[in-house]
Amino acid sequence: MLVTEQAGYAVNDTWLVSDINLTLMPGRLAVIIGPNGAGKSTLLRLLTGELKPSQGSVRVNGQNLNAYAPAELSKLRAVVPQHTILAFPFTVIEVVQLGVTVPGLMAHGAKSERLAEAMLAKLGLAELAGRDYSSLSGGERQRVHVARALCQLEGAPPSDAPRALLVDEPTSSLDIAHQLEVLRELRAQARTGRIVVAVLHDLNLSAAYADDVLLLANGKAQAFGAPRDILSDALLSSAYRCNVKLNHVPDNSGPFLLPQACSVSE
Amino acid sequence: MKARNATIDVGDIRYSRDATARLLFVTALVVVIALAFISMATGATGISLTSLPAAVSAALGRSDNPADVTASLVLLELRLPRTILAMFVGAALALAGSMMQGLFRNPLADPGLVGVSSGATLAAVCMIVLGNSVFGGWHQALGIFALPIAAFAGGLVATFALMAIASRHGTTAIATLLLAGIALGALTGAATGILAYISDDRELRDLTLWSMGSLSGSSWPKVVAITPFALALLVMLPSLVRALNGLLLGEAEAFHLGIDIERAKKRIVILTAAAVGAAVAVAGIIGFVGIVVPHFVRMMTGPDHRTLLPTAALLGAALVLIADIIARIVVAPAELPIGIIMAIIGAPVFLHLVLKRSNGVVM
Repeated sequence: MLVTEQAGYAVNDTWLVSDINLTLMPGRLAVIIGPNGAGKSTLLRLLTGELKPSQGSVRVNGQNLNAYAPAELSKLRAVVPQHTILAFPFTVIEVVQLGVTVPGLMAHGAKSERLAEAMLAKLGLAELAGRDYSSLSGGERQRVHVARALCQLEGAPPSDAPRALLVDEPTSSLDIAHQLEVLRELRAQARTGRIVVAVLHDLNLSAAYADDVLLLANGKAQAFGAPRDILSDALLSSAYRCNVKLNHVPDNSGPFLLPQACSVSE
Repeated sequence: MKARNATIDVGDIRYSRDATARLLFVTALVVVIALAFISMATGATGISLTSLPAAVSAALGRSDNPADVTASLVLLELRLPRTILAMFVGAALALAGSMMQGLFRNPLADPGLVGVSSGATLAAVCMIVLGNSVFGGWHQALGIFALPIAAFAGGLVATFALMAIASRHGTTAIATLLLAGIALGALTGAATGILAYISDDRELRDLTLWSMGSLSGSSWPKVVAITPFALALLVMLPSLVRALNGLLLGEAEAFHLGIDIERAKKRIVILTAAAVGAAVAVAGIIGFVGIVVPHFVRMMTGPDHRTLLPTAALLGAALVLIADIIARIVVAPAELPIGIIMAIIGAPVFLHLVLKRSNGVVM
């Protein structure tokens, strides 16, 4: 369980996020949505342990996140940041293997190589394994880092504690097919008993794949719950400061949003 | 079936890079050994490769031939320590360059450019000129270790100071760092000038030779003096390989992968200062090894520090051996300062790197 209690983060007395109370359960895909500058990435960085909360606490398995040594933390959660810039020319499989070789989760090369190949295959990247990373498109790079994070989770030694996968806008550069592929994989990861948290911009993808949705605006949680409760005209309109009109598909499988249904409020 | 084929293809590509890494390492090892022999046979006294066995047997006391005895003296007291020091200096500088570039995620980050060498130089010059007066007590207490320790401390102080200047919110701007490094270089140059002005003739000659980089003063005490630094590198470096690899993805990513960033950064800087300090103390200022060698190895086998560091150490040793051999041959029986040879080799490579990077990539 990943729990935040009154968690907040401030830079020079400006609160980027504050008073966040969340309980993220294993087996569920939680999606963080909200307008630009709402504090989505900051909240995610609090959940990864990268930032230390200025108020409140973030706990995993009952223990404060910042009390863990980085090496211990790396066995409990993997992270896909929004942008990763590589300093030197790695091949794709080498990048993915860093997920197990840097944390020291595996001793030998062949085993980590097989794992990396399997994770690449999961994201439809098997053919790119030997390619130079810098020759990839933005979308391919994003998926490579998802594969790297999966590698880290798979490579960690067996433990009863649930592991978490924290992903910041994994679909921002992806085409529609790969958006679906990545979200299906995130949901599959949740179904294996992991805590999965993703920051997403696409409300329709959130509606289709999230088990829980957190709506963030001005650094504060506006609502947290099932997609059909959170994705409502009133909540979205006030959070995004525009008039949002949601539709429902006839078979009642969830809400969807068309761009033209949203007009900027005066 | 198709997926299976793809996996096999992937394996082939991977293994070819691994095979290149192994091949390069073995080649570098053979080249270093060969160059060490050539270095032993190069110099003003005409001891050639063919006369090595006789000289060695004289050294072991099995021959009384006066020519062989002279040869063995030259070999044991002059050329062997010189060869050992050349190898150490090359390996240390190549490792220091690899570490700095990994730390700052930039192929242009070289100890010579980011202030480690400047700090080490200033401290060492102080020790040379003021060692008998102001630092007399220290100089006597530390003996042969006085110069390397001073250079190490100077490099350390300069690097931490520069990092503090160039770092904002946990990230270090490489451009600021390089410019601050240039400023510090100018400052140490001025300080060296002042010290040269007040130094006596012998000190002045030491300073001049030393500032152009030279292995001509090699001796066994110098070999002893650098041994602790070489051991520190050997023992500590393997534990930093994972951190250096993680840092290639970025500081946040390295943290996600389980690296204690602040601790790793401190250790990398300390180890870099140790390598540069020891090299500067015994051979003066030799530039570009730290840029040319890691760049070449990365080009051949990729940036993974598990293969980069050992191969770069060997090739660094080979490069300085070559430069030192050339330095002893071109104007024989006189010698050129080795720093000049390295600058002629290194500056074009550095320029090439700068031009390649300005091609759309931000420094």
